[in-house]
Amino acid sequence: MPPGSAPIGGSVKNNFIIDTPKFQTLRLKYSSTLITLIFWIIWFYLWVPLITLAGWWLQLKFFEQEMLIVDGLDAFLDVLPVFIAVTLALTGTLAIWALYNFTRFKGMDRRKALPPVQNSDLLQLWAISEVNLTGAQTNKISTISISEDGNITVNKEYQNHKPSP
Amino acid sequence: MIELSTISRILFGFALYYPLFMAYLWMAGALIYYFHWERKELKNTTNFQEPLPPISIIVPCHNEGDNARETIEQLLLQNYPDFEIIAINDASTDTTKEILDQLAIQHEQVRVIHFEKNMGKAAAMNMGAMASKREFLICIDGDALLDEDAAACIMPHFIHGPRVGAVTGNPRIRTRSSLLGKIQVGEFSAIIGLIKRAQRIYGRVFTVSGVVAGFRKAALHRVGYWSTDMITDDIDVSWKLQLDHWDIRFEPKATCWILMPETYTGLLRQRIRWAQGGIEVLLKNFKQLGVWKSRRMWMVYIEFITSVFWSFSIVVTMLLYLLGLFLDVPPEIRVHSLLPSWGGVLLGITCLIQFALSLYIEANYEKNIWKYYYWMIWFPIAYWLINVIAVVFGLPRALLRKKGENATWVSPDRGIREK
Repeated sequence: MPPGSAPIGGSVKNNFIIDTPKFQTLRLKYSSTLITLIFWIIWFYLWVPLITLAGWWLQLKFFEQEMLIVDGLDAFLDVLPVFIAVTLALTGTLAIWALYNFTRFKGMDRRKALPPVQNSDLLQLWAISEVNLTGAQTNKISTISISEDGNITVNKEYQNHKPSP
Repeated sequence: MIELSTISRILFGFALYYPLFMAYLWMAGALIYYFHWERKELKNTTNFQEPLPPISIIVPCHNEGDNARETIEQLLLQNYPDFEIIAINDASTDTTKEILDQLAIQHEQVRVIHFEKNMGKAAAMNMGAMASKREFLICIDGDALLDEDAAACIMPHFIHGPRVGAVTGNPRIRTRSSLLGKIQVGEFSAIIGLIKRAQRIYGRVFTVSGVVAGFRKAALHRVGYWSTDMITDDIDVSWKLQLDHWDIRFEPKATCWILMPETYTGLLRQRIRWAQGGIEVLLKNFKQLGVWKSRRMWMVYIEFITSVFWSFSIVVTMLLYLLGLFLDVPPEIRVHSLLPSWGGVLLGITCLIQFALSLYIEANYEKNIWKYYYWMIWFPIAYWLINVIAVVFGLPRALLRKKGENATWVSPDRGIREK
């Protein structure tokens, strides 16, 4: 079963997903549905030229008006070879580049692993004393303050560490 | 002299064809990635045959009182042999401090650092890295839920790739109650997921996901860890690492469930910050563009600069349309309609193909994701508009922001949830 999932009845539910439309405000709920509907309508509007294309084939007089849009089709057909050429050039270049890299770097790594960062490196980089660094790395709960000039001070928090019931 | 009609033809052509060609490029890249790497990896189940090094999971938290417990308790379920959790409370004003203290007391693996004043996420992660004795870090946001096998999926990239500096995970949207939530499910699959895969084929990625990424400390140390003055620390650290010739990998199996805004204002604010951050990083690294050693980053530079230009080309097109309604605009540059007729059909089809392809790939990680396809019809027109607005507002913010100032920000709304 995938992580975060639990069996609910006969199906599997992902507990991570929060899908509670009932908590939306009415305004948000109805505006979302309305806007989606509007955009589906716009989408179908964009298909009108294709319907016109069918009209061409069927030679129906009824579509005469829409056939004017065929100008658009002509423009599209004009630009289609260039469009295909550019798309092929772009994707082809990427494919050749990928192939080149796969071949060139197959089983090869020119960079050697760097040694892990040591505390001496951290002391050099950060404006912190060794005592404070050790504190930051070992305290269960600390408070860190960073001054204007970047000096780091670490304070151990003293409080009741008894586990809460 | 170039004629006005030529300029307008180039402008309108660019506005239409840029997203079209990029969509095909991303699809081609994602397909190459899928068939070359991902499909094989899907068959490999996580196993602990090879020794996995100890790791620290860094969790920066600022006012995460509602989420910190859930996030950390989920982290404790990691199927990983040796890990500690370092939570950094960035001077929260809610109950985060008390919750983190309780968790530290209850669980041996949890340690907590409190900041006295709000320093920002980058400073929190820097201190988290400093407080860790371990070489490998996994950083996740204080309101995200990491898949139990994520760490075990991320680490082999570091073990087998000495030049791998970071591995970015696969963020999945939790908040899906509203239309905005639902279309973000599609966006994270079709746009973000697909682009990450394609960019892995270029060789360089624009950014790791700030919400979930693994890092090699030696790589971070070379580049000075996270910059505290950049509004998007994730983009900045990605560019710094890659300009230092470290590889960044994408691990789609390392899923991380995130909360996203579900109000228009929250979403817009978030997108403006992302756009501003991207532009800040570009300006900061602009000089590197001319350096031959940075050549592997050129594609990322070009892609980002072009996308900024594209946003402005859309704005100019819209302005010309609006001007034409009231003024006598020369016919060469008059925009008669904002509906691009045949071009629109092509763009619409392309976009739906892109979503179909990405959901086909992403269905490997999330069953039933196809049901979100219905909502994707929204994306090509309305969502691009949000991104255009984000770039237009983000650019002046990036230019005017005081340099060197600590970048702090508050998370936008985290979607619709039961309180």
